Amino acid sequence: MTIEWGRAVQENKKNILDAWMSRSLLLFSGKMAAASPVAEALHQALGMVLDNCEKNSELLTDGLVQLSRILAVQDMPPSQAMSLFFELKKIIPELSLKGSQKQSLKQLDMDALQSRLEELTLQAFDSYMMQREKICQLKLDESKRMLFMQLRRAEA
Amino acid sequence: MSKYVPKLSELKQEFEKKKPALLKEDYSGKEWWDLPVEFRDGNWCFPGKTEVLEDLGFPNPRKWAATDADWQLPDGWEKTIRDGLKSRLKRFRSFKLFLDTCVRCGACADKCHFFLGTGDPKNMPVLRAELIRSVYRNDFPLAEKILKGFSGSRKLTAEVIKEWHLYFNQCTECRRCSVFCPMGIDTAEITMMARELLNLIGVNNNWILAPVSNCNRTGNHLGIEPHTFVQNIESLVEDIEDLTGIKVNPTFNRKGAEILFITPSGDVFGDPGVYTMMGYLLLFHHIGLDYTISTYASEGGNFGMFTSNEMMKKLNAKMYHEAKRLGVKWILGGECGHMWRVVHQYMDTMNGPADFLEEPVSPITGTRFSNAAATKMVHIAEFTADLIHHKKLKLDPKRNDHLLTTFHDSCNVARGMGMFEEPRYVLRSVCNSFHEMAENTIREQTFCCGSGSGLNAEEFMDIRMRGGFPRASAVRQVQETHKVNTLVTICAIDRASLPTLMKYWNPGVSVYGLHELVGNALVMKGEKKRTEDLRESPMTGLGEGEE
Repeated sequence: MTIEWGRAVQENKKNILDAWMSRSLLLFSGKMAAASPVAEALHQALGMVLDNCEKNSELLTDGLVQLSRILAVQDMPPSQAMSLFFELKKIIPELSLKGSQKQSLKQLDMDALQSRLEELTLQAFDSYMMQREKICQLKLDESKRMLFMQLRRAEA
Repeated sequence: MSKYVPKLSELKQEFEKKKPALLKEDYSGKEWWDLPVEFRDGNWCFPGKTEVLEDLGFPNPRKWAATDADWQLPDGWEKTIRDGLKSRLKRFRSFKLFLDTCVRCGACADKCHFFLGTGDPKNMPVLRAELIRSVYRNDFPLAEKILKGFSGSRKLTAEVIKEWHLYFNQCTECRRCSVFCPMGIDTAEITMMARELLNLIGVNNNWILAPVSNCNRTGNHLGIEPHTFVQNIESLVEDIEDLTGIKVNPTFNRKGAEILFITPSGDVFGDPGVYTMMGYLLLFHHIGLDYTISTYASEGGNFGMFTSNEMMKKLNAKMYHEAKRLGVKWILGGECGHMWRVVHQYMDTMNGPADFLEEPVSPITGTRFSNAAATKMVHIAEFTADLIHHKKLKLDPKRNDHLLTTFHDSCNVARGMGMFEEPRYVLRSVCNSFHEMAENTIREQTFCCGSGSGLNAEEFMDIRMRGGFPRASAVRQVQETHKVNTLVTICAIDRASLPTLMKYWNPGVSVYGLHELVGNALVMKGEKKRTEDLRESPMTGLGEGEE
């Protein structure tokens, strides 16, 4: 059964996504244009996360990976990158009021939303750290590739 | 609670410190140069090591980091920069023209991969050039000096030097912006001049200067001594024999050979370059080419281009000195990027004329490469394309059926030489699956790998991943629509940096040199049954018992 906040998200998805996207772009200190390739990829990733935010699934994981891949190489600390999930807590109730429900989410729904956003944030953080680990691994791999013949001779 | 857990106040302080600069203050109504310059982990390259600078005789060797408040610039550095700028404006008319003619139309703005990947306005080529133009305006033309303020001029300060260092090292000199400039301004040449000026006061990049120093001493970027250089190639010769049953016989420093073959040294020591080298060796054996490899001119790449004109000239000269010493007729050059830009655009007036060499003629097909009449140096892609065109190669493209390819035009070869068709012709002849990326990301509009011009440093990885994002996006598109798993390229820097870019943004796509695929497809006389490619990966449908 779809939970109430989930229904609110699905019914107002476009508006929520647009608002979430605008606020996410602020993370880039006003430098990233909405029509840039990075913003386009960010929009796609946020959309995937929003589509699948109610429960864990492969699609949600894919969305989080795409999102964290973009965020993990930007000029911002992890805490700031993750803060975009907290924006949803404000955006969803705010935009639900303007949607078909015409009423604010009940306190129970707000608690459920809060709890789910916390889960999502932690999952996103894991994913973010995975990308940072990957960057470290890529640095190591690159050094090894550069010394490929020397290492091969040393191993032989 | 663990003593290692930071206190809330410390976290807050760190957060404030690292918060993007624009959010800290309201910059509306201020000039663009008031936007602060911030060096952070991942956005600057380590400076040249003291011993490297001393080896090269470069100024101001010292230990420093871009994050230091005091960069220990030498006494009188302002005069050094001003005099250096004056001298270059006099020596290079193109530089003066490029500084004077920009009308700030902004056509270049969204063409730069660093701007697209970072969104930083100072990465718009127009604004990046303005970093130096603003100083030029303040110091030079009298009328603009009087109109100061209206003309966008500013004083030369240590902060300006920091800004130059940050942003002229976020330009890979790829020249995509220049394709779109109605005035024909080549921002790469502005970057080259800016880096020259910075080198005058010891503001530099070790990933550029260490290879320059190595190349200056031993002839190649990694500083491989001649005996090791030979051992590496002999080791590849053994691999070829294991895989194909064919023993190829390259010669070294052989006087009287018809052709001197020079390739980037990455093809001799690095993965995946070595597989491209194996492809060359198989090709030369296949056609019975009379060639030799030099252990002195053991590098095609020229990081002098990212340092100074004088250093570029010196490193380029070694190839021609060696050709003269060995008495060859002409030079065949391997898959490289900036080597070709140096040869094609600067060599003739810098070190030329190479009148001791002959206009290159293919000994196999008789084709005269009149396009190389001045430099006497032929690109391997056009050499091989000519061989295929004259049906001189026995090829089995099925051997590359496990590779679903797309082609990345290397900036310097595509935009610097106008070579678009030859590598595609070769690629189509040696494999059965080839799909182009989007039209505005290939040929003269190709996107840079994000790591060219000496920015392939590992400490610079974050910016590299952002700068390479437009290229990676284009690859992703063909990966999704055509299941492409192979990115073919003809540049050593691409072969070094694109594997990393692909692993980060597009897992599942591997990077290959064009001649590696040629080597896979070549049917050698007397070869044993081929079931594995040059990387020892199984060829589709050609395994044991399969026909």
